[in-house]
Amino acid sequence: MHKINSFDEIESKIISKKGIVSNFYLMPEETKKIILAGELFETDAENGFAWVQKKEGRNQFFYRTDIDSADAYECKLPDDDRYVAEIIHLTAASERYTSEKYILSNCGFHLVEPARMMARKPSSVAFVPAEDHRIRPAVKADERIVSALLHEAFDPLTDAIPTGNELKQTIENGEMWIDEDTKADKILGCAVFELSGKRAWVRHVTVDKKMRGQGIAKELLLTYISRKGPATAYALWVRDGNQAAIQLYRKAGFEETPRQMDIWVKA
Amino acid sequence: MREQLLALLEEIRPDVEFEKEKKLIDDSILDSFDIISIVQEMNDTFDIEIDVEELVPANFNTIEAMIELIEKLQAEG
Repeated sequence: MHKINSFDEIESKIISKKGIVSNFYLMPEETKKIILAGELFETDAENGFAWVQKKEGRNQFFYRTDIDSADAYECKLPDDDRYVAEIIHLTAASERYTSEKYILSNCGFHLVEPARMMARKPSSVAFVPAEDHRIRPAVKADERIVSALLHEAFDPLTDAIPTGNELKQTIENGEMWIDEDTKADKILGCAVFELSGKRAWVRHVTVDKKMRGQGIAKELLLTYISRKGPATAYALWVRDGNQAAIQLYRKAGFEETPRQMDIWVKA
Repeated sequence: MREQLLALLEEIRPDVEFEKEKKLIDDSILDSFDIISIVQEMNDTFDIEIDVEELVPANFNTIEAMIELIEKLQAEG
């Protein structure tokens, strides 16, 4: 595996193959950002190209091949690490979706669980949190506790939680919000609200294990959503098997959309 | 084609007024998750193959630009 140092190194490879397989090349500007951060590596592949974005706790696999040779695509990733790959789709019947599944199976990946996008519009109804509960953007001093909450609830590989510098940046950007008990001086839960254009992505909603079942996550979500922010829509991904989370998001006004994402892992 | 494209776009982003917006990419109204879905659905619905060279903001900033791209690719067949 070798590090990619400039977009020029891979541009021709991205363009040289027909067929839309793997989301990696979409928006070259985003690929350039990954390269600039020193996170992109290329590895050998039969019948196409393969790249890995290496971040703390997360190696994401991207591939590029002709859709017609997808079943002959193969890539040997080093065995000493774990990798994740995602397939985003609206319908399970498309040729591209079938091809992407071939590719990942050939490369030793297995499907962990499908996830679905849920979305909702902003709310004009003000939401008042419980007495002594305060919802606010996290600050530097909250970092250690927030990090512990995230690691307790999520797998850095498949759930893509912000770690290390990324977590610092998320806090600095004002994207990490917490629900705290001001009386007990305790952080009860946290969530990331990442504004992308006019839509806010809701990620990594979690509550301290001992405090679950008390409506804290809903309170955190609805307080954020009911403030007069710039977002015209809110969206999130939730695993199909996580019924408790799906119920929570429904109660917070989110509805299922047709967009799905399969999460595949090579362990 | 316009209605078909609009229906597809609204399924992906029901909160966006596609007929009104003129800078869907430049103003970051659509993000890469949306573009992935839009490209896939345009390929399947209109039997075209949008290539990497075509993945530039100018082709996706407005519904008119997307129609133009579809028509161009269909003509190239």
